[in-house]
Amino acid sequence: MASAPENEKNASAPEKKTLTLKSMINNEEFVVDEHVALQSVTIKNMVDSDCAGDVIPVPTISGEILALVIEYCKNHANPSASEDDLKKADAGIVAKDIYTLIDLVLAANFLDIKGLLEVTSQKIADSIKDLPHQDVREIFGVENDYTPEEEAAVRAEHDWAFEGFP
Amino acid sequence: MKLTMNYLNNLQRKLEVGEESSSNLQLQKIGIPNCVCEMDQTLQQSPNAQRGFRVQAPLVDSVSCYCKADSGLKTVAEASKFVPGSKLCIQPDINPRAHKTKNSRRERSRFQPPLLPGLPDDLAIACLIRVPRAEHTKLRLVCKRWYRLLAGNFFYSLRRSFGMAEEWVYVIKRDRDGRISWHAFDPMNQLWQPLPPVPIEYSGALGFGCAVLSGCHLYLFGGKDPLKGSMRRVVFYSARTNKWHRVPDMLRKRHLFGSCVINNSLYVAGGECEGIQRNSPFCRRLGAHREVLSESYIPENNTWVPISNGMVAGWQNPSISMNGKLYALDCRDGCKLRVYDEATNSGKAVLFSLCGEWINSDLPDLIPTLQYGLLEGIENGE
Repeated sequence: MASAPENEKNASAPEKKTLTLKSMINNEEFVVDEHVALQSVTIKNMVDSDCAGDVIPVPTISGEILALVIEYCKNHANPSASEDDLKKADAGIVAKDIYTLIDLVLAANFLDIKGLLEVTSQKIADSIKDLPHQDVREIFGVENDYTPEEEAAVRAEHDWAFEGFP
Repeated sequence: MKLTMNYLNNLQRKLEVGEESSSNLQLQKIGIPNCVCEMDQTLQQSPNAQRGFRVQAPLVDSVSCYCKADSGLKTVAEASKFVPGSKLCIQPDINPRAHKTKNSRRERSRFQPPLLPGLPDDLAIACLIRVPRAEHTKLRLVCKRWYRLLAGNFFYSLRRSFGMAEEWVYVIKRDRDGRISWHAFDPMNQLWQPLPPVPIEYSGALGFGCAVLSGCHLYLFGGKDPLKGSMRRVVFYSARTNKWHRVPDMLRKRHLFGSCVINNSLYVAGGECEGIQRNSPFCRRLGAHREVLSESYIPENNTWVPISNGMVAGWQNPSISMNGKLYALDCRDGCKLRVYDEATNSGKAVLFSLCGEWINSDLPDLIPTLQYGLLEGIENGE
């Protein structure tokens, strides 16, 4: 735990403050500017309440995911980035397979980064949108607990929606 | 270390709760009604209060009995052996298994498969509410849990509160044979979807009313069957279930009447009543083509009640409610508009002339809607 005098010293230092984030899964360390890391409300709260040491351990998030999260934070900490650039960069970050996306959602939720949580959950919703329901089950590993008769009954409820408009 | 201290503090708190519930119990045993002032008295007399323990409202659920803990309690450390597994309870009225049902419920939910494997359900729902409405029928087909999620209010009220609710336009179509059908238009995807066929009594009806209540229910009411005459019938289409349902009939038969929705209550007024009137002495007394009693329907109560205030007197023309005000055409060719302001509640009508100077203002925009009354925004959400 950081002692109070150390923090005061840091605050008065003129150079840019950095924080070290350490993935507790594969012990990878990332050195990031403080203003980048502070986009995570979780880290901000830790820093504000003087709970953050030199190295902030991040449990349950792998180095690979943490790198993506930091990339997102860096993009969004850049004040000169235009809206379009950010959109493109976000699209690049979330253009991943479903497992990575799920890990990203969990990481964004744990670190409390609202924007990242939005783009990642939107990406998951978009992939669900584009898949037929059988593929949704298969790709997301959702167990089909319908009997064929039950499934036919649910489908029949919406039969009218499957017809075309004359 | 900090953690351990916290744990001990919690322990302390639990013990305090235990004390309180035991003194509570004494109250019940000696038959004193369990009200606050009497409880305070007892607490003052309790030995724990004298010992200087902080007495406070239970911060955690105090159904469980920790009464054994306070009997021989000297130190916090000593107490720890009582609290987590306090099995024996010397108070016979307290059910030591009080938490049993809660635990088993938790147990059950633990065995429920997750909505999206790998994600806690709240995050899974955060993803699923972002799927556009056009795909919701598909979501229901994935598994039973998704089906239940989409059948409930929670999913759609979340969509609404996150600003994701999508409104579709519902349009009525009458073919050459006079048969009517409803179609939904999804403006985002520019897609038309037919609704299930309307109930048989409405398939050729004329002069009926339509309204949207509760955000997702499209009501059809009254109207005139070409063969059987005016109807009391009320049905609604639910965007959630994609089905037509029936609700209690109106009090009076009517067609070509005025109607509007204010604060999720449906008001119906005026109109004509004709056809076979065997079952309606009221109509016979008045005779056909006379004004019919006004009434209103509140979905929560699922009943029709007669109303007789100024708002609806003699009101039988097409109307629309907007921003708490009711606008009704006041003559058949649409040259006058009657405005009722609910705030004044006086039923005082203001007449606007819809000629000349009004042409370029926004008011005449109402007229096509009023005259046709066929377009209704309806939403899947709450």
